[in-house]
This record gives sequence, structure tokens and C-alpha cells, in this order.
Amino acid sequence: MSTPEIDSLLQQSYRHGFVTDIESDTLPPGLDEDVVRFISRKKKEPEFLLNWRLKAYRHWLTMKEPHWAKLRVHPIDYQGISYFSAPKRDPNAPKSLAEVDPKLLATYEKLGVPLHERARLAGVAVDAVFDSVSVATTFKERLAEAGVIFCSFSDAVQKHPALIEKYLGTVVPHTDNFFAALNSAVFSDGSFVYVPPGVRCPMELSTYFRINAKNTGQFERTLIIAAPGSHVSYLEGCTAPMRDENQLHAAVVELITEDDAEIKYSTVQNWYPGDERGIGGIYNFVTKRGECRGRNSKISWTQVETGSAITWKYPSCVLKGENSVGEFYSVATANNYQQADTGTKMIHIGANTKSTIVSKGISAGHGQNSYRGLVKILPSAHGARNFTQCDSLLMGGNCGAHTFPYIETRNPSATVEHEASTSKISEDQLFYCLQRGIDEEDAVNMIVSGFCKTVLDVLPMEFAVEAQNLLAVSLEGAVG
Amino acid sequence: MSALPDIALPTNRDENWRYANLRPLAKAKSDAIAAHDPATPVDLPAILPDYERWVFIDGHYSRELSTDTDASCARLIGVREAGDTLLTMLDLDLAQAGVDFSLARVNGARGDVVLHIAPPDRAQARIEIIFIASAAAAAGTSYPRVQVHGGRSSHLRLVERHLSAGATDPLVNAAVDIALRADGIVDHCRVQNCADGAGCFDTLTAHVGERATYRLRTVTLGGIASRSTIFVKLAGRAARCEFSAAVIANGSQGHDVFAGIDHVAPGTSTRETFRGIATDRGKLAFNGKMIVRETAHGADSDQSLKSLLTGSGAEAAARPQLEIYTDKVSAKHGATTGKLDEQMLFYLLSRGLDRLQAQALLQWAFIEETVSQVELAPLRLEIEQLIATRLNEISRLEGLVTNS
Repeated sequence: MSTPEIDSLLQQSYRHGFVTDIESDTLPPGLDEDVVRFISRKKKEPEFLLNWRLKAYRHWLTMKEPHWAKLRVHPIDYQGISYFSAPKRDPNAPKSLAEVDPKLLATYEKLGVPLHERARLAGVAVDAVFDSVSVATTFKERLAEAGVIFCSFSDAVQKHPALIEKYLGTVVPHTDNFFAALNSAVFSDGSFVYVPPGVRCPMELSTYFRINAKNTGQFERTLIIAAPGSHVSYLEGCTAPMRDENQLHAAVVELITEDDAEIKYSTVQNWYPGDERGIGGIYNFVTKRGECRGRNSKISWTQVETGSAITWKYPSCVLKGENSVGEFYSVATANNYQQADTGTKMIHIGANTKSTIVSKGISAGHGQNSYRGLVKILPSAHGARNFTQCDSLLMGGNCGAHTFPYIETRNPSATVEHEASTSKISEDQLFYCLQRGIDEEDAVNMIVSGFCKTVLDVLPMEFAVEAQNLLAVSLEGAVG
Repeated sequence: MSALPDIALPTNRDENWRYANLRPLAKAKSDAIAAHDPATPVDLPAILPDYERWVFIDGHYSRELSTDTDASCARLIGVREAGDTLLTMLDLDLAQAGVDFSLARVNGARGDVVLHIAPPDRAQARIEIIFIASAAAAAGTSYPRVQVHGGRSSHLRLVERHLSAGATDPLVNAAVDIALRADGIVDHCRVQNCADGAGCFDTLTAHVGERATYRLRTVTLGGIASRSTIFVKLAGRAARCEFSAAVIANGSQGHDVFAGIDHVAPGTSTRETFRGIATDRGKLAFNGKMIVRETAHGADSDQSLKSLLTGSGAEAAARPQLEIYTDKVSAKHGATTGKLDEQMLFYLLSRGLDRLQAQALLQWAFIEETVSQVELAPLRLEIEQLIATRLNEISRLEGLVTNS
């Protein structure tokens, strides 16, 4: 049962809801082939990329917006969105952090991402994407020494077009789904990582995405390639200012691991969730997929989803290589009128492939949280193994928690296990904490942390702290 | 009779029908089969003690084979008299469940008689219904339909069998609707053992009142394709549903079960158990959907779905879904798919059993968990014999399972 104190805690305001006053170079709203050509021209892209964008755009025109998810989405006016918004800068792009617009740096300070210190102290290299354009990256030299390419997608198109042409769209083709097709047509920037054979990336790579301008959508594209025997850990954070209209975010992330390679991809998603009446907030429609192409390769997705009015996101693993491993660890919260339909797909193709899914959903207020997951064992996946655990925690009588697992097994030697539970915070646990002198908010916070521990434990340390804080802000004190 | 243009049949593109084999439906004639005497003599199972028997051949009542009396609480009524309770319920509740019940609508439009069973308040009744499919699908479809209106504190023990006479490839589209008033109990056991070429489709809805209990035990063995669409609404406070399903898909059989349980009232509870074995190129699918509404405080649901794959082309799909709209709830599910446990197999081999026998015994133990829930001993024994025969076709159970 909710108490007034709990309600006040639930109503805590969104920490990142500020607008940075920076001049930006924005296209008028609307989408047609000319817009696609404009974006491509603006970014001085080679012809193959323009053609690919146009193919995607033409295919997108033939597609219908998907409505199978358990979400109530206000109609999106795709012609009312501006598809390009770049912070204005001098013709000479900043060569170092000192040259970056101080206001931007101040933005990151407010976000809690002080580029200098955090990067240096924590050894994190940050590629910050503001609206749609990459602003600055750090530690390029140190990474270059190791042979790691970590740059904005636009830079990669200029400097490594062969790699882009070889890998782009091979995991998420431009025909994949409505939002992926839209992204393929109009993506403006994102991150690119290539880790050469045998290299263990010397530091964690990090990107921060932020939507700033009004009426813009963000369509970033991330491509990470881990060559044989390499390893990389990539962190992604997202925020947006408070606005009372819904903004669209439709990103695509493609991961590729070759033999014995590993990618660990962590996300803390804290886009603006809308206010307590459900007005405003980001529509987060994201396609994330990794392909374990090589033997003994591994892809691990970890996500903490606390933001967005609507989350539609299924980070997936296609396990092609023998003995390859896919992992998915997720905490998703839905408070106020937030809706989340998120989960994963594990497609087992190679022999002895293994996957683990741990999903924790927390619903409060009028939030609706759905886990949707597919585990598919194809006939070739001899000895495949999957374990899935998805638990939901409910706080208050008006929220919802839903589970939609799909388990398809077409090889008799495979073993698939799935378990799920839904309940409110245990009265016994709460009582135990209270009678030990711990106040109610701290007790609930502690229980929620315990509930999410399996997932938070696998986050890189820098993110684990932030994720813990985010959970505390969005849910602390909500007693079911 | 003409086609039914206003009722669109389900397709595999529909999310809840994607695993069903709908080819027999597409091939068959949708006209109801006319009353006739079956070409082959009907081999009926032994009469269950204290049960009255109603036999239907291709959807038509057979007086010679039935043992019903005037004192029976069951009687035959016309579709019009049966009213639209089923269809009204489909419209009101099932639309919310997101399920396609078009086959029940076709049954309502095509069938002509309904077996109406209405045990009065505090009465006990034992009824066995046997539906025999004898005509080939080329001749039409049979549309059996049963309606149960259980009185307060009544207790109905209902056995429903689906059999074939002769080696035809019939198509059956059955519909059962059950309404149970306060404190009533229905023990419903359904055994589907039609011929290998049969297409068996059925829709079952139950509306369970206050403190009432609906127990459903199903055993699915026959047919090239079968699909059961089950929807139970726990409408009264502390209403309870127990559902167990045992399914064996052998050869190229495909069996699909959809079970939606809607918890509407406070204190409602469900126990759902599925055990399926797929051999050769057999396909199994179980889609269990638990809905707990805002009003269902203190609801408790538990699902356990297990599939065993023993053939190189065998497939299984499980979808244990939860839709929960209140926090005062306990809901859990577990689903596993896999092969026989190697350690258990080794244990039996080390005790001197050969591999085929050991495999058969473990399969037997696997499915017995659901069969053991059939309370009526003679029926349980009969089901065990049927399953043993099925498993025998694939492995050697002979001499291991006795008539104990």
C-alpha cells in the first residue's frame, strides 16, 4: 500500500531535464528522398552509403508501423520530425577537448559525465553524441597505439569506408523492421569500434547520447566489430531534456564477434520518461543485435532501463559459431505512466551454443512492464543450452507486469529452462528490515537492490554506481 | 451448405495459432455430416461404473449405443435453445484475452444439437460422453457441442472421449462451454484418441463461480493435427482451476494447446501442468496465458510446462505467459524442454535394462505426472494402457508397465 511519503519519493523529478542553449544546424521537419540525400551529402558520404540509405528509405515506405508489442503508442507523425540536428561549430572541428564548446562540456558536467576527469580517472574513453552528431572523443591516441579504432560513425565512414561497407547492415539489414529501416535511411551519427585480432581493448569505451533540440529525433547507429581473439567492453548512456511532446529515438546497434572474441555491451538508459501524468517523454524504439560468428565467441548485453515513456527494445544474440555464448542481463523499471516492452532473442544455430537470460522488471505507479523473449534452437544447434530467469516486482495496485516468453526447440539434444515469478515486495523481508531499525525507504531500496543484484553485479563499476542511483531515484520507497 | 463468409478462420499468421497445423481445416468440407450408420462397427471402451453414457457419431446422438435414462440431468436441445451463452461470453470476455475463437463460432453456426448437462443444486452426476468420428473429412465436419450448467454445490464428474471408427481422416470441430455456480465442482477428463489421420479441433470455455472448482485433465494422443483452445474465467471469489495436459506427438503428428486462464475475482487460484513427448517428427506446442486482473487480489497461479524431445526431427514450442495487473498476487511459471536425463538413463542401464527399455520407462515416468491426476481409477488405468501402447510404438515398454 502506498503512503504519502512513498508517493513523494515516486514523484522525484528528472535530474537530467535541462536544455543546453547551443546553436544548432537543424533540418526543417519532414522526410523524403531529398532529406536522405541531404544527410548523406552533409556527411560527405561515399556513394555506396547513399545508395544503401535510399534503398532503406524506399523499403521503409512499404512497411507498416508494428503494433504487436503490449504498448499504447500515440500516433507518431514521421513528417513532423526533424531528421538532422547538429550543434553548430566552426569549420575547424575541435581537435581536442579544450576546443569543444564550453557549454557542451558544462552539459556533461550536469549529466555527471565530466569528460576530463572521469575519462582520466576511470580510464574511460568517451564518444559523446549530442543530438545526432559526435562531438568529441578522448583517448584516441592510447587506443590507436593498441590498434583499436574508436570514433564517431561519420569519422569511420571517412577514414575506414571499406570496413563500413563490409559490415554495415550485415547483422541488422535495412529491411529488418520498421524502425531499423527508418534508422538506416536517416541515421546521422553514432559510434564505430573495431578491435583488431588478438587485442584486448586497454580501456572501457563509452558513449553518451543526448537529445537536445526540440522536434528532433535521434537516429544513431553503432557498429562494433571484434576481430578474432579480441575483447572489448562498451558502455552507453542516454539522457534527454524535459519536453511535453514525445520525441522519437530509433537507434540500431550491430555487434560482430569473430573466433574467440568477446563484446560486453552495457547500457544505462535514462531518457526523459515523461511527467507524472504521462505527458512527454522519449519513444525509445531500438534494434540491437549481435552476431557471434566465430567459434568460442561471446556477446553479453547488460541494460538498466529506467527512462523513456516507451521502451521497445530486444537486444539479441545470433549464436552461429560453435561453442559461442550469448548473455542478456536486464533491469527495466516502469513508473508513473511509463511502458516498457523489452527482452531478448537468443537464436542458437551453432553446436554447443549457450545462452543465459536474466531479466528483472519493476513496475510502480501506472507503469506497464513486459518481458518478451525468444529462445530458438535450430536443428543444427546440437547440445545447445539456455537458461532464462525473469522476475517481476510490483509496487502498487495500478501497475502491470507481463511475461511473454517464446521457447522454440527444434533439436532434441538441446536443453532449455525457463522460470519466472511475479510478486510484490515481500512483507516478511520488509518487516525484518523495519524491526532492525532500518526506515521504510531504505528497506525498500535495499530489497530492490537485492532483487536487481544479479544484473547490477555484471555492470562495469562506473555504471553500476550510476544505475544504482537511477533505480533509487525512480523507485526508492515504493512499497507494494 | 455454403461457406461462412462472415467467420474468418484462423491462420498461422495469428500469434496464437502460429504453431497449429491448420491444413486439415483448409482441406475439409465445412458442412455438417448428415446422420448415418458408420460403415465399420464401433468398438466402444468398457462402461465406467456408475456413469451414464451418451454416444454421438459424427455429431449425431446414437440411441442404441447410449445408456442415458429419463432421470438424467442431461438432455439434448437445439442450438437455438442452447442460446448464445457461449457466443455472448466469447464477445464479452474473450475479446479482451486477445484470442481468436472463430472455430467455436463456426461450431455454433453449423452444429444442430447440443448436449445440455445441468446438475441441480447439491446434486451429484456422472456422465460419460463419447464422440465418434467415422466419416472422412471429404464428407464434411462433425460439430459436437456440450453445455454444462452446474448448480450450487453440485458435483459433476464428466468424461469426454473422442474416438474414431475405421481408418478415415475425419475432421472434428468440438465446442464445450461450462458455467459453474457457487461451490460447484466439475471434474472433467478428456481423452482424445482419434485415428492418425484425423484433424481434431476444439474450443472449451468455462465460467467458474464463487468457491467453485473446475478440474480439467486432458490426454491427447490421436490425430495428425490437433488444437485445443481453452479459456477459463475465474469469475467468483476463491474460484479454482486445475488443469493438466498430457500430450504425445508421434510420427508427424502436431498437437497445439492454447490455455488462457483469466483471474477476475479475489483469491482465485490456478494450477497448470503440461507434459508433452515428441518423437520422430512430432511437434508440440503449449501456449499458457495467465491473466490476473486489477480486481483479483490475492490470486495465485502456477504453471509447469515440460516437453521431452526424443526424435531427431521433433520440435516443441512453449509460451508460458503472464499478464498481471495487480500487486497482490503470486504468479510463477517454469518451462523446460530437453532430452532424457543422461544420469537417470545411466542408472537404469546400470541396473540391467537395455537402452530402449530404459528410455521408455523414463518417458513413462515423465508423462505419468499428469496422468496420475486422473482420479477415476478405471479410467486412469485405461489411459495408462493407451499411453503405454503409444510409447510402445516408439520404444519397448512391454513388460515394464503392468496393469497395476
